[in-house]
Parts: sequence; C-alpha cells; structure tokens
Amino acid sequence: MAAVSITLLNQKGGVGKTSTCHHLAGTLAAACKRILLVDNDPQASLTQGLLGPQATRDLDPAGTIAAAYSGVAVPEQVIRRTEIAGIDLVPGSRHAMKFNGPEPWAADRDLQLGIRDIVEAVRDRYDLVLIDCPPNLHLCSWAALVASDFVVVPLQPEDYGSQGIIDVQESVALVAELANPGLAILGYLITMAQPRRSIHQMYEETLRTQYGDDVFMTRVPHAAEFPEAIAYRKPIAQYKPRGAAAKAIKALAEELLARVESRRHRAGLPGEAEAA
Amino acid sequence: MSKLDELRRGAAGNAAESMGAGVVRRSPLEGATVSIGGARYKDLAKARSAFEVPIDKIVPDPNQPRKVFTPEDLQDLADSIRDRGLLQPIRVRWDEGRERYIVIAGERRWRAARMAGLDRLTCVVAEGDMAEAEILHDQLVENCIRADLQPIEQAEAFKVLMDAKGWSAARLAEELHIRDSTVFKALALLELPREVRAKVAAGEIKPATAYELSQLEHPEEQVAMAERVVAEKLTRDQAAAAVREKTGRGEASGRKGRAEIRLEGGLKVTLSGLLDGQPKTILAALRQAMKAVQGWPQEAVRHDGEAA
Repeated sequence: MAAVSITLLNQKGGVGKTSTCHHLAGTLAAACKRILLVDNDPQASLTQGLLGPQATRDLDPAGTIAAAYSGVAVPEQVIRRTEIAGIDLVPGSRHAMKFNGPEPWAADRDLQLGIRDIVEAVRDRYDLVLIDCPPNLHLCSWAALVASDFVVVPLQPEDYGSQGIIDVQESVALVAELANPGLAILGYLITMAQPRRSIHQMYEETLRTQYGDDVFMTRVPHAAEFPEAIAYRKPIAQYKPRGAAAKAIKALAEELLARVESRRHRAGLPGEAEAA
Repeated sequence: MSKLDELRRGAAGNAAESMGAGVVRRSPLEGATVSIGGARYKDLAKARSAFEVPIDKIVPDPNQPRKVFTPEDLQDLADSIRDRGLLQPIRVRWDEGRERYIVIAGERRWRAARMAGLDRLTCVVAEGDMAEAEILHDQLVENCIRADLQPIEQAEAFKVLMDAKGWSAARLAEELHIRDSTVFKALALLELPREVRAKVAAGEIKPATAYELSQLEHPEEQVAMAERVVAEKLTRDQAAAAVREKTGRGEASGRKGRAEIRLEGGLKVTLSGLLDGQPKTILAALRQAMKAVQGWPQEAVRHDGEAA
C-alpha cells in the first residue's frame, strides 16, 4: 500500500517539529515501518541530527531537497539511506533557502510541486513519509502541504506555541482549495509538556476544549533524553528504548497510525489490511 | 484559589484567542512571483512542460484536419498502447474557456489511448497564446510529415493555412518542405464538384487521377468522367488520355526538330529547331520563350496588319 505522507508544521519555531519527526521516525522504523524523512527546512536540523553538521554542509545540493525545488531531481538522486535501518532521508540544505519565497500560491508550478513529484514517485516504497518544515509558511511549507495527505501541528502548551495555529489553518485551507483537496489536519500535538506547570495545564485544557478530538491524546513530555539522543545522532528508540521518553513516542506512533487508519476508513480508502 | 484556577479565570480567554477562538480567518491570497535561481544541477532535467493529464481533461480540436479514423487502425494502436504504454506524448494546449486541454497533434493516439482504457496521458503542453493558424501549422507539419492524411483533408488544410497566413501555393510548399506540384494538385482537388470529391474521399478515385479530371472544363464533364473512371476502373494514364481526347488540350507531338502543342480554343504552339522530342527539352524551350515574352513591354506585341 502506498505511503501516507504527513507534514509537521507550525510557523512558530522551537515547538518540536524536527524533534518529533526525528524520534517518531526512529520508533516507527523500529516497528518495521519503512520511513522516508524529508528535511524541508533550509536549516537542515533534521539532517544534521542524523548525519552531523559537517557531513550536512558537505552535501552536494544536487543530492538534497534543493534539487527537488529546481525541478531536476530524479528520486534516486535525492534519497539516501541513513544509519538507522528503515529510515531513508531527503537531506535538507541551506541551498534550498533561495526557494523559500513568500506568497507561495503564486510561485512557479515546479516549485509548488517539487516535493510532491518526489513523494509520488516513491510512494510505494514506504509506509510513511514525514516532512519537516521551516518555522514559516512560505514556499517550502506550502510545497510540503501540496505533497501531503495530513498535517500534524506540534505546539507547546503555551501562548507562543498556540499563536501559530491560526496561520497554519489558513495555509492548510488555501492549499486544500488551490492544490490539494485531500489535505487535512490530522491533529494538534502537545509537545514539551510539563504537566505539573499550571500554565501548561490551562493551555492544554483550553486547547482540548477548543479542538476536542483534533488534539492528540498523547502528549510528548519534556524530557532530557530527547536532546541527549540527538546528541548521539540517534532517535530515542535507538538510544534509550525502555525509558519514559521512548514510551511516550511509542504511544504517539500508535495513535498517529490509528488516526490515519480511521481517516482513511472514513474517506472510503482501503485500510492497511484490506489493501495488502 | 489554586494557581490553575487563577489562570483559568484570568487567562484562559486569551489562551483561547491565541488558539484561534473567535478570530476571523482570512485568505492571504495576493499575487507575486518567485524566480528560480541557480543552475548547478547538471545532466538531468525534467521536461517542464510535460504533464500527465487525466484523459477526460483532453478534448479534440474542432479545427483538426484529420477527421477519419478507421476502427481497425485505432484498434491496432490501442492494443500496442495497452501492451507497451503510450510511448510518444501528445501535444496539447490549455483552453481557458473550455477548461480543457485541446489536442494540437496526436488525436489518433488520444483516441487509441482511450480505447486502450488509459486514464492518464503524457502530454507536452504548448505554452503561450498560440494563434489558430500557428496551431494548424503545427498540426499540419506533423501530419504532413506522417504523410497519411486523407487527400481532401490535406487539401483543405493547405487552403486554411494559406488563407490564414496569406501564403501563395508556392510559399506553402516551401514552408512545408514539399514540392510545388503536391500543393497545386491538392488544391485542384478542392475545385472538383462534391460528387467527385466524395469519390476521392471514399477511395474510389485516386487523387492523382482526380487531378487529371480537374483539367476538364465543365463540372458536369468532371462528374461524368469520374463515373466513367469508377465504372471502367480507369488508371490515371487512361483517365488522362480520356481527358485529352475530350479537350484536345495538351495534345503534344514532339520529335527531333519540331514539336506542336495544341491548346484550348484553337490555340497552337509550334517549336522548331529542337534537339529531340523529349518533354524536358520542350519545357526548357518553352521556359526560355516565356521569359522572353515576360520581358516584352505591354504594347510591343506585333499583330499582323498593325504597326508595333
């Protein structure tokens, strides 16, 4: 069955987009899913967290996401294996920066479709495609939305994290109207949660009151092991598989897959079991 | 009151607003363009104007010269497409009014692909506003190169293109890289009466034969001769001979030293001093003569009994 493609998006920085991509991929790969990570952020943090900064800077742009935007890429050119079994990567590159222009709906068609073309070409080789985006809603994020079935919006349960929601919703609505009618928000994901803090409790309550089932039941807790794992260039499941942090990501992975399954069922699409 | 209660009381409204409660959603649409910089990516490039288009989004061009598709012909192509796919993209243009892609070249492939059950086709999309005549030019060039257009269709297309571009027959021939005579003969077909043209279209009379018929003066004669051709299964040469009999026109006898060409209305051209009776020798002499006459000033023709 063809892969489901999911964009992680919030125009607020530092909310855990890259971190969630990284750890989620590791957990899913450990469960034998075939994952394609797309590092769509010119900062290339996701790539650096897997290959290291030097190797990331040394990459030939022709083998990175930059090539997808210039419309010349053939998938084999831009997809590489990683050290983690089951995870392939389209590396990010600072050379993609120049494509990340504002007013993406008016951009050249090739730019808007750059990611979709790659994803479509390789959909049947993976179970999930996870696309990490920069903390803005310019062309790169737009292209990710054009290429995706679903959007997950990570946010901390605080004001800054919440402020990004409205703009994300508008972008999703616009992409759905103009380029990708099937696009839907899979859910809002609370990250870096410290449930003992009243402010976090209040924000979480308000979020759930506001968006109900659209908020993931699973919260990703604030945990020291997450950045530690990245310092080792590993996802949490490969770094400390039995800790609380890994358990949380495992619960997230299960909920993610369940939500996807349920949406596909509602849309009348074949479920995993039926399509196999 | 706990800290949490305080927060619920005093700040939950703000929190909700941050999350979008009661905030009016607007579309950020505005126009702008981004240009793609950089050309570092060597070797492979995707053809930017090639798309996979859903087959229902493609419609035939009403102006397309080719209108006859035999089912057997299409079936063969359809089978091939089913087995090997459509190997050659068709050429289309976007029509804003119809909201469809219109076939510029490749209607036969499109029809065959539909028969084969394809739901998408690879298309090269012609950019920009192509004027009708340019589109037809593209179609014609493609079709002429394939050389399997029906003769009347081809003739009609020649005429349309000539009219649209204001070209003479000679110019058209030059533009399409074909012989003058091909164009002249095709145009002559269009002058024939409907019944004769129908016979050509039906394959009962060959275009070359029909051309000979067009040498006849009157349409009724052309129709009658056409019927004779079909009934007696005349070849082109036989038809040509029959036509000459009727008109006495073009009857030429040539031998070494002398040639006589009888024309309409009692006119006769006599050549003497020829090396031989070959048509090309006679033609060369006639051309020289034409050149000479063309060079004469208007009133300088000497008539018997009249001063120059």
